[in-house]
Amino acid sequence: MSAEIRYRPLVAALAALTLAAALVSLTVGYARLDVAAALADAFAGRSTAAAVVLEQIRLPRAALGAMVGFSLGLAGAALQGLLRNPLADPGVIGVSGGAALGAVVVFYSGLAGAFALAMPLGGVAGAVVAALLLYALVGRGAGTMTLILAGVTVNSFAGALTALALNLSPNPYAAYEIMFWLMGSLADRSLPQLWLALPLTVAGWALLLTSAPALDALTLGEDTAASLGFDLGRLRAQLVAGAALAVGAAVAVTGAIGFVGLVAPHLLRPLVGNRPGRLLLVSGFGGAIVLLVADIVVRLIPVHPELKLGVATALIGAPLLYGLIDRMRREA
Amino acid sequence: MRIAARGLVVRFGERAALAGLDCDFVSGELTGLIGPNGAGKTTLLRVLAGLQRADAGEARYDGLSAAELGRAALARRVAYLAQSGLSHWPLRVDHVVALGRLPHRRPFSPPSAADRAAVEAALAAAEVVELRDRPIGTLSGGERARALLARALAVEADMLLADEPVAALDPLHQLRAMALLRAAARKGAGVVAVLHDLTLATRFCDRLIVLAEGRVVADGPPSALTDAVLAEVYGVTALRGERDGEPFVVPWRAAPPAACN
Amino acid sequence: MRGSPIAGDGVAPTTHAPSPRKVGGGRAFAACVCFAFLAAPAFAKPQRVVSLNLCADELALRLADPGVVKSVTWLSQDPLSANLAAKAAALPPNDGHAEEALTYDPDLVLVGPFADPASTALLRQVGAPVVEVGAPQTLDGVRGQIRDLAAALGEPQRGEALVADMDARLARVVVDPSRPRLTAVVLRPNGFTVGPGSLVDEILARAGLDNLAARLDIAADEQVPLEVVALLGADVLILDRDDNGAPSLADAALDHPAIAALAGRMTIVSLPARLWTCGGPEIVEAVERLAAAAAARAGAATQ
Repeated sequence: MSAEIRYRPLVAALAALTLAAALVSLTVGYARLDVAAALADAFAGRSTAAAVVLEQIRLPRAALGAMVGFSLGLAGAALQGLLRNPLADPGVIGVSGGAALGAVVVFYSGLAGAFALAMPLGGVAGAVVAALLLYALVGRGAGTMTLILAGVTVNSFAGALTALALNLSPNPYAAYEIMFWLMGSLADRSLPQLWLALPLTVAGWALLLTSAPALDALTLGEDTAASLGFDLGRLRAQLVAGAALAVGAAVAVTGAIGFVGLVAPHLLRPLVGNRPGRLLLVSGFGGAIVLLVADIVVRLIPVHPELKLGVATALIGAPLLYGLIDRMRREA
Repeated sequence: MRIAARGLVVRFGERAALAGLDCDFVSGELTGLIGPNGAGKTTLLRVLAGLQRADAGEARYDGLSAAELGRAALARRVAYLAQSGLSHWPLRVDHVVALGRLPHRRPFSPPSAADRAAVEAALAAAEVVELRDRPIGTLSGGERARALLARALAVEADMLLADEPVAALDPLHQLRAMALLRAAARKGAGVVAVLHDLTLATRFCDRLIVLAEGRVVADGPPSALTDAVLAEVYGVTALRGERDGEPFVVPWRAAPPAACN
Repeated sequence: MRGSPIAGDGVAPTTHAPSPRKVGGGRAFAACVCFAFLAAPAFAKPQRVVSLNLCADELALRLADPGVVKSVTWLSQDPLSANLAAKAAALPPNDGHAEEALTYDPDLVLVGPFADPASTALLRQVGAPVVEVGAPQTLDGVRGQIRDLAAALGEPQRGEALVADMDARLARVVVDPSRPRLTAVVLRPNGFTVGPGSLVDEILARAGLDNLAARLDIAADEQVPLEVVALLGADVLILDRDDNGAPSLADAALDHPAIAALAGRMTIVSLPARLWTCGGPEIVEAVERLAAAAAARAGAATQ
């Protein structure tokens, strides 16, 4: 029996769930906040402490959670369509790790101070390099083993260089900040960071979402897709650029949060009849919901200091990855 | 449509897959492309479909080069059915067949009535209507081959280039698929099919092109497939006969080495 | 580098471990130093002093004659984290290791509270007198430490003068008892705050401020979420800002727009850690700055 659901209602439902999760995220935090009062104050222009907390701390956290989650879910679905492999996820294949390296180099060298957009652009540049490296290793139609190994390679290298860069920083705190970059966090992000990341992210979304028909055609292999009129070289460039923009800008603000781009497409693929084109938008919203829920959970767990978000997503995502690999091995 | 290939040369490293090939293909004909393994049949089809660039020579479509025709127009007018029946994701059969309409559809607009009609016609012609809800991964090899053939038919192209379309099918479906391809040719499309079964080729094709070592060795009606050609190209002798006015050719024995004249 | 034995109070800039509690009280160390002093043979003023600790560096440079101090740690040469950088820059730097001290054939070596016991033992073995400079937790402890170190250096009058100067300046900081006590919260890089019962706590009290960390049920130096700081409703927000030059996420945390947005409701004072990390005379400057902020706040409140 097919699990497929009609597309428009599915998208609408997921969008509504995303909004709901974001609203719940606004009400969760470390201090008791009367959200209604804070909202009233904010709208009336009264800058009370509650309004400041809502506007400057909780709102960017919820908005970024949705934006970054959408980017990761969308990029994961797009990469899986391109590589024709359900294990491709920006974290697993090293794109997030590369983005973190790019952002770290820009931030700790002081470049970010010179020119605000430098940091998200650094993340994008790192992501592009990682994606190109991966594509060179893996080429077309990646077999699972090759893909995972290539991802491990890129991740290890990027992680090591990130640690090196942090250790070389003259600031004494830098060496201890690796957990943020490799595991990610939404804590105390700010509105300026949201605005900074937004344009690059949206550009990435546009590139990724418009590749839907081509990804559908790729289901039947590169030759058939080309015969159906799709320029494969251009498609690859479009997907690499789109994923790098969306993921790179996100990682520059929140660090590398893994597995969202694996969990969301995996759970939602049956609902779109396995069609890669339709999965894109659906997986984006799915990723947003996953990340927002993880962020809510992380704040409710009474662990001090706050658990890094990537830890929560990895606790769910890594066992899922294991199960997927196992299933694919058995089916092969 | 007429596709004219002139002087096609394709090299892979040292080896020449096509070594200066001249050929014409026209609509309204079912052309069988036969020859031993490695003769260049798949390479020729890929060049004609615009998937492989020739190192020398070119193919022209109604007088236009592929570049002049444009990627979109080429996709609408020439359909390609690959040899390997790949589907990376377990899509439903009707969704797979609907992929054949992509060259005709505007991106992100819903399928038109013409699109839906073409899909239905293709499903019926390939006899996979009852399988339309099934994920393609759950089908047998033969059923999958028919589903992918339906996908190629759904393009409603002027020219269908099919690489071994019936190789995986059982005898009944082989006969029906060949009849289908001939009917498509009668309706005005051109069909070029790579075939290994010599009887199917001689029975159903209007024309046979025999390839060996990247060159055309014989080109003509099925009667052009003489014993001499069989011996030279395949190295076999064959049993020949006729039933109800239709020929059959059954490879029988390895041919004796060529006698010195 | 903060977090190593040559820094002042051993506060480790990690994102996970809270900074370790300052060890010991000034009084206990004063007693040890006095005992060591009394147990020594006839006292001659040390002529070759090597300091292996940032806080010891600063006190030694203030109390000893020029030329007596032969080497100080590299930390005290950094103007951003040290108070006497210019003076210290003229001297050869060391990394806080006992072996380095020995190259100067010292007759007095100053070490910090987290010195490696093996290094200290080595120094004593070689016959170099070692004096441990502690991390006082009270203002009295600070006074005691200055006096003790001055005695060890053979400059007791300078010690007294320094303490007298401190006390004079402190006396000028007047807290109006009729005014309601203002509340304050300290925010350090990575969102760490300062717990009750520390030297900083006493500095706050001396400036007429109540440390709200006590009300938060925070026993030690812990991380406090920014939300909580914002909603605490403190009158004064004290930022341990270093403007190190080189960026880090920890420092950037203090630049969050929410803090600027709160500037209307809280008085924000920038107070670099170097003023209160070491139990030295700079503490008075910290008290003065805080008192000024408190007065400004109270003045604004009455308008």
